[in-house]
Amino acid sequence: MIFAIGAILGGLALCAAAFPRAGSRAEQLFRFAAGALLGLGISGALSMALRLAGLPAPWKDRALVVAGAAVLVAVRGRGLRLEAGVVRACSDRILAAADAAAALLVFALFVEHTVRYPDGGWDARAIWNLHARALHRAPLRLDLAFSPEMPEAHPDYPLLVPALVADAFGVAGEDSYASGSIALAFAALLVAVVGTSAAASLGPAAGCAAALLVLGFPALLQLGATQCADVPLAALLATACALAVHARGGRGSLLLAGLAASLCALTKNEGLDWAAALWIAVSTAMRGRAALAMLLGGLPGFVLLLVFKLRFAPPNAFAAHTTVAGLWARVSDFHRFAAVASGLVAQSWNFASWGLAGPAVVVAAAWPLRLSSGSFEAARILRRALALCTASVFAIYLAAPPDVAALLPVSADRLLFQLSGAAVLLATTSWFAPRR
Amino acid sequence: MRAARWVVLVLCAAGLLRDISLHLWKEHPLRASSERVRPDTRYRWVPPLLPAEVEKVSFLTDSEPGSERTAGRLYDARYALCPRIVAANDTWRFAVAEAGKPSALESIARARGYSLVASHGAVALFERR
Repeated sequence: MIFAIGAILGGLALCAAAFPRAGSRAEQLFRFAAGALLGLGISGALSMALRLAGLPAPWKDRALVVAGAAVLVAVRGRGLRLEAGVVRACSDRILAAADAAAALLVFALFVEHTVRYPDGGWDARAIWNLHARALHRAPLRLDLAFSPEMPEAHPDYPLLVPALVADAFGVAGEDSYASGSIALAFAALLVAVVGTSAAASLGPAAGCAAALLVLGFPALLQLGATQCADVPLAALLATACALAVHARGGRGSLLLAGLAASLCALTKNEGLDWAAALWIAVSTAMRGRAALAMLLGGLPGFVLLLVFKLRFAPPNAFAAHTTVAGLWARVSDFHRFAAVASGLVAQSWNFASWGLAGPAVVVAAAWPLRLSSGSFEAARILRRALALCTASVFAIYLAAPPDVAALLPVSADRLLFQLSGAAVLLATTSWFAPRR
Repeated sequence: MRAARWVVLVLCAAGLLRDISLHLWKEHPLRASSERVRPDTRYRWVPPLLPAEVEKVSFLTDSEPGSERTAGRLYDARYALCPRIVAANDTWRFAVAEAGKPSALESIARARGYSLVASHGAVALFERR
């Protein structure tokens, strides 16, 4: 219990300290959702740092509870409280009821799958939960966990999710549903962050629609219930994007956006690309001070990542097998270029992963923007970040040594899912924001 | 706004129907949960037989190299024997093996220069001769 309270309280305390009082219930709910997600991420990052330093991790939860409670008391829960006299906005009852029913259905199927496969799917057993077991069973033998003799286990992947799961194993045991519970928490918070963020910016109906779109992605259940780290990364990226667009020049929100972006980089290797893309989008749309605030917020996380990569992780398998001549041959191959482009388009329209919601989100996100000034800036940040992320996905497949035809169909849905929360935020802005 | 609402509902419903069809129909239903075993169950008897100082174990199988089955067996062995390093080679003193049939274990051991220490179903522990 103290593990869960510590994980959530730390993030809530940051949100309480970073924001003034909320101007609407949706904004308040967004801060609770973003705070809980940031708290989970901070708990994982702290555990990763302690484990890399060879220090015991269990006291971390007590420290987070004490520090979180102290900050909440010191700021009197400011950012999590409503301004006086806020009137409850009318919500679309049909959409709200549909949200509740869809969330209940996805939750039931998630639990059903987790009961049958408590260790998750192929990737979870080969990478994430394997690392979590290694951290839990032999916390002082990191050389075994990061052995280059098991390249399929991706020993160069950062440890936020495995460290969090290892902490949960320490509390509940390896035979528990600990890893499934953490996967469920991230999936639920992805829906909550996207829904409440859209509601805070665009009204309750837009929030309900955004949550429904995320729940309507079959990939949410597939990747979530199989305990892939793509869902935590999607949730953290959506949080970083939402905090950046809610900032409106506020430094606290941008600091938290930077923190969330650094947690993306601590979750998976490509998370660093997404963090850089968001930072460039914020820098070009909001200029120097905003970019600096975001960078400062992410600094601890990026330093931790640097230490991990330089001192502990073996070289990335793709990078190790890449030569300049080979790289040039691949990027200058027109057929490969065409195969990557057509493969990514085909994957983004794949009904098995995206249902009908995915193609609709892509169309809405790409639709020309004619929005009022406030919404336009938010949409511009999201669109630039997503455009850079998409270009990065394209570059990854173009430059990666394996055969595109073999690699792309088994991995593109994961990369695209990582961007899905941010894409839904852009799509709902495009649909629901007031026009010029 | 009303049109947008119904569009969103239809978009979401299509994905949820896909979820339902996949989890309740195409995959095994919940009633099969009692028949399921965790991926490391087949190997749980191995660690007590390995000397404590052994950190690296080879993995052998008779399934086709590069196939999904081979990868699945290797990953299950790693998951069970974690934190030991389980490498797909015949380099180390001890090896674990999984075969399609228990009768194939002896021939796998002989072909790679190992002798059988113990076996349980289609999984075996070998030691270098």
